Amino acid sequence: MARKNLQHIVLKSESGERISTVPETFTTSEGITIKSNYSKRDIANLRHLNFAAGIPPYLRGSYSTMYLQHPWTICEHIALLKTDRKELSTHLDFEIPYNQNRDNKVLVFDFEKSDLNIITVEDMTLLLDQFAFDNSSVSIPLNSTTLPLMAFFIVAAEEKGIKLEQLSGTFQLNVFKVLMAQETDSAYQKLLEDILKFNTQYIPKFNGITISGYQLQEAGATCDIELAYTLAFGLESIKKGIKSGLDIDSIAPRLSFCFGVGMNHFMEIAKMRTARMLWTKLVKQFNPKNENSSILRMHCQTTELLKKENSHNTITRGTIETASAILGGTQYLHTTVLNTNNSLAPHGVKSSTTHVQSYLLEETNITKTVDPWAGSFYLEKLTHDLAEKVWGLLEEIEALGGISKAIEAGVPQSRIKDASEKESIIEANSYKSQEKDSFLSSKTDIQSEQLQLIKAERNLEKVNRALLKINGYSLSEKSDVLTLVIEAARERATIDEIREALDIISK
Amino acid sequence: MNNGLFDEFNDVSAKQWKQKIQFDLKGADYNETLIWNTNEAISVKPFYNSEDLKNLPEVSNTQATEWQICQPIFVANIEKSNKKALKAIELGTESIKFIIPNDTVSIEDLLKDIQNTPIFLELQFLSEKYIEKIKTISTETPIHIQIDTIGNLAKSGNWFNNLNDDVSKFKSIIKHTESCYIDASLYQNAGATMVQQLAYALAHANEYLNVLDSEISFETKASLKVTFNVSVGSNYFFEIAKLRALRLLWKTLASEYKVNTECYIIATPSKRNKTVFNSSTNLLRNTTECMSAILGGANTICNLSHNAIFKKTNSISERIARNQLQILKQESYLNKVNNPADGTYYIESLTQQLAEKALILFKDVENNGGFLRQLKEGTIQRKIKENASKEQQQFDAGELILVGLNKDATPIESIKNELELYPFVKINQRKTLIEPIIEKRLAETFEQIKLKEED
Repeated sequence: MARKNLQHIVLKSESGERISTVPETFTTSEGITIKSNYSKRDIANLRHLNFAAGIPPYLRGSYSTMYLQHPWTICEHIALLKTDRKELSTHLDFEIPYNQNRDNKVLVFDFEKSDLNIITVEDMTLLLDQFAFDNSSVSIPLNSTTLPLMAFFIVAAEEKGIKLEQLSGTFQLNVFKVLMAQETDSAYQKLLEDILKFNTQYIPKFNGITISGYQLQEAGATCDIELAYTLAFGLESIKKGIKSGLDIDSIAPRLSFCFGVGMNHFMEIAKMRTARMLWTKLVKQFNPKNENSSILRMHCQTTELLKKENSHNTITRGTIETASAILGGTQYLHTTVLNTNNSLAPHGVKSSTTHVQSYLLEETNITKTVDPWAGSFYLEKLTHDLAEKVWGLLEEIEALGGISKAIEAGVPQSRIKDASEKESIIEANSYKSQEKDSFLSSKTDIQSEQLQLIKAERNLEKVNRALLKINGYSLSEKSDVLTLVIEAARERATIDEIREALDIISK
Repeated sequence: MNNGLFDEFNDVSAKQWKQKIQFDLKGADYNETLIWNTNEAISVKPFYNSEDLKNLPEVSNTQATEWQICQPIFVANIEKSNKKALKAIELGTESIKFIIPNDTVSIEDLLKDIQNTPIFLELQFLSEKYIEKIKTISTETPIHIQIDTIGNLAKSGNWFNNLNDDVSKFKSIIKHTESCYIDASLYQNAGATMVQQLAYALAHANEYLNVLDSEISFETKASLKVTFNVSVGSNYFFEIAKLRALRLLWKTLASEYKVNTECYIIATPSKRNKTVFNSSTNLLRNTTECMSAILGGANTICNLSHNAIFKKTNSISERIARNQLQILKQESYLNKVNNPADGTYYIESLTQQLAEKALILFKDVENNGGFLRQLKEGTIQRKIKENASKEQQQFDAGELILVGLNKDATPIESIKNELELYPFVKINQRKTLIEPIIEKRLAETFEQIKLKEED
């Protein structure tokens, strides 16, 4: 039987004729229309297609070769549990061994997430016992606890003989809290400037602010809202800084952004590409000289919202979200696969939590080329549509006179409420955040014993004198308030005593 | 439309980007630092842009909005399998694949109460009568028969009966089924490169085409339903490209025979990279492997349980596997766009390269007498083994990584008492007509050593 001779055949190309004729559409929660088919016609007039990585406006990545030379930093957020010495160390014993064989991994001691009660310097000392200096970092929320926490941290380090320049960390501005609590951050703006001044001099690796829209996503906000309001806070920080006499190149490089990563895979990739371009555009109006000023430094965190049920489903979700963040080109990435209190998870599940990022980095080869999805008719159109939407929201905020004014007018709040289909989630979330702010509510027995001991031993007169000095501090004064708080911390003033003293200032 | 948002920024040419990279490299060698040379002999560049495409590509015919979740069920007991299928449908599977071991299974009983759910019947035996009987069943549900005589030869080393009998039965069966099934998953699981997988799948199919060319009518050819069963590994973008290349290759070959140029693709995660130790990591692998399959345009996806290589099928692992697909479909919206990969510079480039290389290898196989001939000679087996052992060396040297085993190993859990199935290659001394192609996992030797240490 003669075989058919096939030596002449050449590869056919796509004909471009589709079988399906009815173009169905789907509208995302951002209000963006998704078609069932995309073709070159959909991207014909898009302006952004030929932007690169490492060159403004950074569509395809912050650095020219992205992960090929420097993979993203794997952030393991350590939720600090109760100040029970045993429990804290058990949690860390598990994490640290993996940490040691990777130079792209950092442990973040996250005070925002923690139930840990830091009452005095002693509690911070306990924490520092667990600190691995090469790859640990602290994240301190920007609120009424910022100053005392920073002071405790510095005093604890000094007393342990740790050099301050070894310590690193960031301050985190929780956009959602500021928006929903209607608490303006202006009272703390000056304090923050003082801290940054002090830190730049003494703790150089602790002088950045992360503006976090992560909690917005958790609250059910859509990607366009999350981006717009987070970037708007960035813009406001720059404007305030410039007003207070700083120049753009000393403010912008200190800012970074944290986004949540949701489940709409391509939307999330588009979000990160869009974020970089829009930030560069926003910064450009201030004429930065330093290239770093217009690069968006990006942290991403996978959402916790859907992680409450069957732990195996959460692994799948965590993997998809983590992949979105990497394909979008984040620089720092925290994967939440289970609730923060994951010590309850069965062994297999727990180890895969730490393996999600390693797997994507080591086995899938998705890091071998920059921005691998570029050119996709679908993704490029989505990137364009999202950028337009976000810009529209940014223009709305500007028209109102900036984000602070917009909050006063109640605009972002009502937009978030409209966007969130599940309002109960917002309520649950804001309830939770109020609860977390109160460090007084849940002292452990061990702690109250310890506190009694500290209170008995300290020199009350000195404590009161230190607190009075904070009281007497006025915003116009030249001496910085952090130095005063450090002194009070040294004398073992408690966090609440310091907050009380500070409250008088801000009023 | 207002396109003014980014007017203040300039386009960047590939040349400018490369210059920026050269500057950022601070003297490091461009090729050495940034080019990834793969086992497919494809060099992946640090970036792709529109200059990599001569023209903007036309759209492909992938139907990613219509992919279906499939639940495989091995039929050991008819009643139980029927119940299991009904339960799976209730829990969200969209099609069922029954694996039928012998001709005592009554399909009527097996399909009792199943409605409007596509059914695949993989027959592990060759019987004309059995198929004729299936065709007479009146049912509400579409039935697709999957029987692969050449695939059986490649896997077992023997024909079902003998060459002449198998071929003559194939000829008469195809008249009933008007379909053709090619199981190419074996080549991936045995360690073939993607180029080999594609070329061998095509050459395998071409053996059938040679036979049916003079057997079936013009009309039957035009509507012939050809199904490829493929296995998808963790090499994310390459796997997406592989499925797209398979469609292009099929279109190229089928049009020579005036056969339906659209093929149907069923995809399953690979077994080759799955591990017994740290088996929950397999969940991560299955997730991205299913994503590749969806984005590459597979029509049906059969997920694998994360512990399938060492545990008997059980409802919990099966539910987890099914949920993975449901999450991808419903929560990640991977069923909203038919052709998400179209236009992607990197994927278009990989697709073209894989297809072109596979076509060259296919022609080489044909030039040397075809797939069956090369299978008889052992050429196919030898070539697959060459790449498999290359991969094995790369794994042993830590260049090819399985997280949890040769990187980021957690304290090894005891696994001995967990094994319900033997997870390693079984040495079968039975004499075979040809050397069978053996599926082998990368982690086997490593795991056997660890298991011994447990004693």
